[in-house]
Amino acid sequence: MTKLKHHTVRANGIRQHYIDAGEGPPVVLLHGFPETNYGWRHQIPALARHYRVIAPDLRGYGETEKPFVGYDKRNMAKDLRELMRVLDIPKIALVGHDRGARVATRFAKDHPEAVDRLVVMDNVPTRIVAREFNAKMAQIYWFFMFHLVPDLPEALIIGREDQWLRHLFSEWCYNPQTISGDVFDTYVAAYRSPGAVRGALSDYRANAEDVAQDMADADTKIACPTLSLWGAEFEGVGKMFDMPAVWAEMASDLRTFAVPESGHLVQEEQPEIVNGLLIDFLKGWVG
Amino acid sequence: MKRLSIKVDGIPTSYLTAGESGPLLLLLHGTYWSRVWQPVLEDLTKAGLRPVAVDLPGFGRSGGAPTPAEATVPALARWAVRFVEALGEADKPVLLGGHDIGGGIAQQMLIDAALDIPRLMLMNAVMYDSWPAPTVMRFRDPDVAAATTPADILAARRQSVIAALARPASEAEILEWLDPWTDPRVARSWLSMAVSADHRYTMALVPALKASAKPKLLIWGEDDGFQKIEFAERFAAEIPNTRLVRIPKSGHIPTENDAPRIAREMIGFFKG
Repeated sequence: MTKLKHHTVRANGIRQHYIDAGEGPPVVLLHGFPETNYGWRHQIPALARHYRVIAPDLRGYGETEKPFVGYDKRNMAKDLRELMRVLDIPKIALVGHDRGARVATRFAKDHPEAVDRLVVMDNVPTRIVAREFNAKMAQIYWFFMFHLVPDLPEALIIGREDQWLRHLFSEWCYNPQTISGDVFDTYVAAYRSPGAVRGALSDYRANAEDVAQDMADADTKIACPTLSLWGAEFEGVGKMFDMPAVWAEMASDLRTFAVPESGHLVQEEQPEIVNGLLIDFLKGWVG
Repeated sequence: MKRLSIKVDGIPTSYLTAGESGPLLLLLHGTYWSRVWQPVLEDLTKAGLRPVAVDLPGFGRSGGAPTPAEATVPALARWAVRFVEALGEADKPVLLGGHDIGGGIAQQMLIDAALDIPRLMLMNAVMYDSWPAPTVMRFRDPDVAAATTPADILAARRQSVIAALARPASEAEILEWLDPWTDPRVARSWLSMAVSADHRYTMALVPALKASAKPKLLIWGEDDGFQKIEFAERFAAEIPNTRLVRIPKSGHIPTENDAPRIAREMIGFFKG
């Protein structure tokens, strides 16, 4: 049984909550939306047998502080860089899913000296979403636009967080009932905590800054070994984009994998496949 | 909406109903319970129907514990007639709907013609040789059935409920659905139905169904992995006067995915 320790420290000016498990070379897991670090519950025990696993709640999510500002991906990457400083960790292997993959991508570009290898899960990079956006994408990425509207989403969602999450989990998973029972309740409780809806929406509302940051260094490819994996059955990513080509624009040392019978939440939908891919890719990371 | 009880064969029989007047609409469940119809009952009542969603003996909130012989499709069809007699409605037309194995019972009742059934609706129902689903089939092995405990059944029902809801469900919802099976008597009743699940009953009805001109409505959750829509498509093509309504993004219990749509379709059909 892996010992999971929950900690809260102050870094980059906010209280950051993270799970710390295992010993060895450090591996950081960054969750996405609509999740928290609870989304890594299948990975943490498997990875903690070989590594020190650190899974923070991102700015605005879970038990981490939900300030009103600072959600651009450069600053969210800095959240992690400062957390590493507090923990005295100079270099990591970095894994990000969804919004966490955007933070991880920005981290790899802004702090290349601090990342040994990178995994991005079910994510189309920020500037490529912006570049390719069209009517067909809008049907599936409607939430992307909806979350950008000021104030109205909060008014419609708060008090009905369960309906919001039920819809998203149904639409985004290959098996729509994947997130059921205590797991669903855990996410509903997380998004019902004060500021949680606003926190997640703020992450989306940094889109203009995020695109500008991503455009500014578009010519610089991520040089560290990069693994891009995605759910083979998700309409918004694997079925819509030529993912190996998309990520070849971003990273020079790339490998890719389409996870079968999976939608967007690859790490929750196919944990055994994802754990195997991670353990294989992390081989050689010695800290 | 209210839950009432009436004795059938001396056994307290529970049913959900709403409304005081209007034509009787008898709604049958299969391997679940009356809960499958609950989301549409209020809408049906507002439209002037009198829905009665009964719990079969040993199921849901009803008393009793049927033997396998009492839990076959023909035996339960005869029981349902006795239930309607107990309600004092056997001399009037009875509108009929069935879900899952309850749909098999409903087909049997239409053909047996012990009651005047002018219209039949089937929702993700067993038909032809579409059943038993593997989750039910495995209990037909006498060794498996003998070794199955109420706790095993509760655990298996939990997996089936989660899959049937075909959407994220809270733990409280799952526990509400499972509640009857926490009673070992109800779990054993479920096992009786599972042991008796046999597509020979529905296959035997096919020739008579092909000769039936009565209006039939199929309501189908498209993504049902237990009762697949291909069977409904075949039924709609082969059985006269049948209309199939597909409910997208819905599973085995589509009333849990799109109740307003299903209520609208049922109202249009039964009042038509």
